[in-house]
Amino acid sequence: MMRNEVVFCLPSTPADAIAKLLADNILSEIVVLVDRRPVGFVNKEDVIDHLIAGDIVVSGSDFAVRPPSTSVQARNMLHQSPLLVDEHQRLSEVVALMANQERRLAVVTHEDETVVGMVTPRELADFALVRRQTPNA
Amino acid sequence: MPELESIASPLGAECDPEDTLADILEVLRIQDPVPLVVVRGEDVLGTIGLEAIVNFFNVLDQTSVRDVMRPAPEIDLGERVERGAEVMRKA
Repeated sequence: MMRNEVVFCLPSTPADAIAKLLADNILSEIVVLVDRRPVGFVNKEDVIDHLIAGDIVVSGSDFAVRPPSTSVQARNMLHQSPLLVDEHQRLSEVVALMANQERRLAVVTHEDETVVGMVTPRELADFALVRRQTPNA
Repeated sequence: MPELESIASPLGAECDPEDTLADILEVLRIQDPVPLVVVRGEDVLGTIGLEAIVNFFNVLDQTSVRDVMRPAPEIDLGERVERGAEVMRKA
């Protein structure tokens, strides 16, 4: 049921680029990777708080052709301890962890700690809708 | 600085505060990330987004929108984006 793609950023990713990654992929949190290993996460409230503080300028989405509009990077907003779950972990446990830790992103990892997928409220909703249509699933 | 009018999304589907999360789940998913507007008559009571299902995943059919909705602050369309963000964060 996990999302088979992992949307991530690097510690050096500018805050405005993170905002676009979050928006384009309908995420509230994004995992920060170094050498393919998760080292933390950034959530949308962090980005919004920097926007309110005037550290980020709203200037469009053409990141490929213009310099970053902010000096704020992921490393400046990094929360340690991303929620990591094993690819074989039960869904009920994942949901409980997300709820208890008030998280909207569970990063699914292989046994060597490389990331292989994500679980967000969208995947939970999809699962709940399928479960409702096929109660024995 | 851009104004809110340049980024605002139109309001989406509505629900009643007495609906359960199970009642609105499908629309909530389709409309994500735009939240549903919680209304009673002419009054806008709040909003509810898909993230609300995480804490109530095993009791979606027993959890009413009223218990988990968020307040819906109002702001003029001509305000700056940064001001809109601030109002949302304080709500």
